[in-house]
Amino acid sequence: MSGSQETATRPTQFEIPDLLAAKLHREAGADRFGLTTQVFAGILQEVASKYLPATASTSELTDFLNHLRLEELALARACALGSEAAWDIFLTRYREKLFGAAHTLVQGDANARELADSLYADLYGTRAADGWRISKLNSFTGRGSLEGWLRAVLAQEYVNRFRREQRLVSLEEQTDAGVQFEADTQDPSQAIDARLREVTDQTLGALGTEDKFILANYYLDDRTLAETARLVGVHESTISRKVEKITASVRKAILSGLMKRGMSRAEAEQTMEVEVTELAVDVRRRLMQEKGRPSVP
Amino acid sequence: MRGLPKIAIARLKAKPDEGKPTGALTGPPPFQGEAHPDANLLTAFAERTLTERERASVLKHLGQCAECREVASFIVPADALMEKPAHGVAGRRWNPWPVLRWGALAAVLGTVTLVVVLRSGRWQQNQEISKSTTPPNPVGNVTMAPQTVAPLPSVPPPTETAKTKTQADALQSYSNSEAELKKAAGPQQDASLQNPSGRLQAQQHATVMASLRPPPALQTENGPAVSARQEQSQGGKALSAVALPAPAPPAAAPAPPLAASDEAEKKGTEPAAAPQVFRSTTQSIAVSAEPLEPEAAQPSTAKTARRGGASAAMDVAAQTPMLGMDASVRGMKSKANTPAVLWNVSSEGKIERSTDRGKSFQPIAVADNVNFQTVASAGNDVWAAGAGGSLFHSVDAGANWTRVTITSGKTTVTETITAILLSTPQHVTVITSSGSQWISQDSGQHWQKQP
Repeated sequence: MSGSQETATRPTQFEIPDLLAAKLHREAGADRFGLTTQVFAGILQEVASKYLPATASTSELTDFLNHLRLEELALARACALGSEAAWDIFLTRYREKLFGAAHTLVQGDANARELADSLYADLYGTRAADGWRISKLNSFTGRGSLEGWLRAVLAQEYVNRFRREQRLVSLEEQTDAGVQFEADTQDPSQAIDARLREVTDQTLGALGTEDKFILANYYLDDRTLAETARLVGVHESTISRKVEKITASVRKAILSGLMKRGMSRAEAEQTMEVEVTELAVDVRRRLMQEKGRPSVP
Repeated sequence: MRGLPKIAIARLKAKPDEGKPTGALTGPPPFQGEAHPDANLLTAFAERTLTERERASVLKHLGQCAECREVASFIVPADALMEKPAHGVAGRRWNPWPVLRWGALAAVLGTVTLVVVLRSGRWQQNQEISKSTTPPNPVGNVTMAPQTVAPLPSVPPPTETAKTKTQADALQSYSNSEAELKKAAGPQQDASLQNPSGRLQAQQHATVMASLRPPPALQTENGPAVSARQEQSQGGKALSAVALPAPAPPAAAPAPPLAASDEAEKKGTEPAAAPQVFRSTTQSIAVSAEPLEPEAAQPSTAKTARRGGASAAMDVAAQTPMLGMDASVRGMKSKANTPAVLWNVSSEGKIERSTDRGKSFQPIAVADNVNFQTVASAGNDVWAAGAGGSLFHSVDAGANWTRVTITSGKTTVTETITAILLSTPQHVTVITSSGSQWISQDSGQHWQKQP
């Protein structure tokens, strides 16, 4: 098996008890894919070393390992190691799903098939490093489902392909398309009040990570409430209330901050509603901007 | 909802330099918080299987990286249903606060509603009681309270104005005696009277007493018409009756059963608004919940009965605070343990007594040549009255009788006494056929006519 040596060369920090390793090996059904208990224990050590701190206790290690997608982990790693039986199962389970996911990303069957095939190549491991195939499936750690991981990898591949295609477009073409030198829509005469920027940054900085994520999804990415709710893991009605609440709190904080800095309420409200497209013109970013950022459906 | 200010959207879009993702997304670099999270973490995030610490790190990155948001949003199919996290470790912990918050609100609302309903019911009961009673009057100074007179116009008027006056007087007298009973009973009985269960028990008590009534075989031929006014009263006073000098009842007029009147009472029949006049053809009973033994005689339950007014005239009158309500409750719980002594006026105008809870009555020799109309008892104190102002009193449960003459100054009662009300053994009220009321506070030694 080609990847076993690679797995063995990874540093391991955790010693997995034999009983636990045997139990997890049995639960994963790794025998079906030709993985011995020792090999599977090595995979588990690698995964644990990647995510767990060195100070993690045995119970934390056990808990972590028990919550991995063991069967899918064994399948993916067996595929990476070249197990024919594992590949049969993998293709049976995920071929159509992968093609369907690709079909949602790109238009047309041919494009979808091409995108899916390019991923298959990476999964199978066409690149050789020191004579060994490196399979992308070796990076699957079982933290989530194998199907979800495949979709994530497919989406990343799609973004990378888009970027590569963008770089191949000549400057002349982009100029003709009005991309590289897109007109600055900001009114130069409209000076942004420094107090407004300061208060806004403070307010946004004080937001929690989830609140920022929700705002970004809703206001920047134009995702629907249902999509945002699915990402956050709450009901749509809950995310609706959350968006409303966060928005109201941001408005209130900005208004309050402006009033504390000497503005009247009317002035603060007027300042807050100023039309802003970009606060600072970053020429470098302007030149590097990617008009039509790839949007994953 | 007003949206996010444009300045906030613009600043949200501006990425901090240190967190700006650069380069291709290929390859799964270990998650260090500053690079792109690898596909494993993005998948675990989308599937909500990350630990809180990992989730916070991924969220921080996602808040700044549109590309990773796109990838993360693609991981979960759009048609995927919301499902529980596959692994308990990494899922978002269930926050019980929203449930608790709404649960607490519901509990508070429920409690408030319950209190309001109960208070409202209690208030209505108090209102009813206040309508049917008058404040206690000083002894010997019985006055006509306007509260008790006011409901009278709603009573179906008799044919003559004088009858109305008589009825009002009788009711007033009863109300006064009732109020005095309440005063004598004190707060203990007040509480029991206001207690709905006590009221129900009292009503049941009245029903039980009715079941003890002898069969209505005795027909009064020339007895005075009795108008019984059904009152919803407190405690054991489920019914009260007054005698009216009404014409003799027609023979065809059926006597409504007491049970029916009780049912009407349970249905909340407004006493003043819909009084019922009973043309009595049945026997009258005076009930004593006390044992027959003289040594056990205690002032307990004062009940009055009239000849020819049995069912409606059974007046479960006031009871003493010590024994009154308790006696009725005991009677409800165990009839066998509380031998009831029943007094009755036969159709021949004779006094009868039953010591076997009404199964049989034995004639009691009180006085010859007296056509008795009514009898009342309170423990061993028994009062019997009839035609010609005849009034007899026994302090030994009917063994010996003493004739009592009702006189005040130069006035002596010679009219037929149609009703006796006993609030206490000492406090006796009699009502004559003309509607006049005479009250004695000292067991018949002195009498005072009520104005």
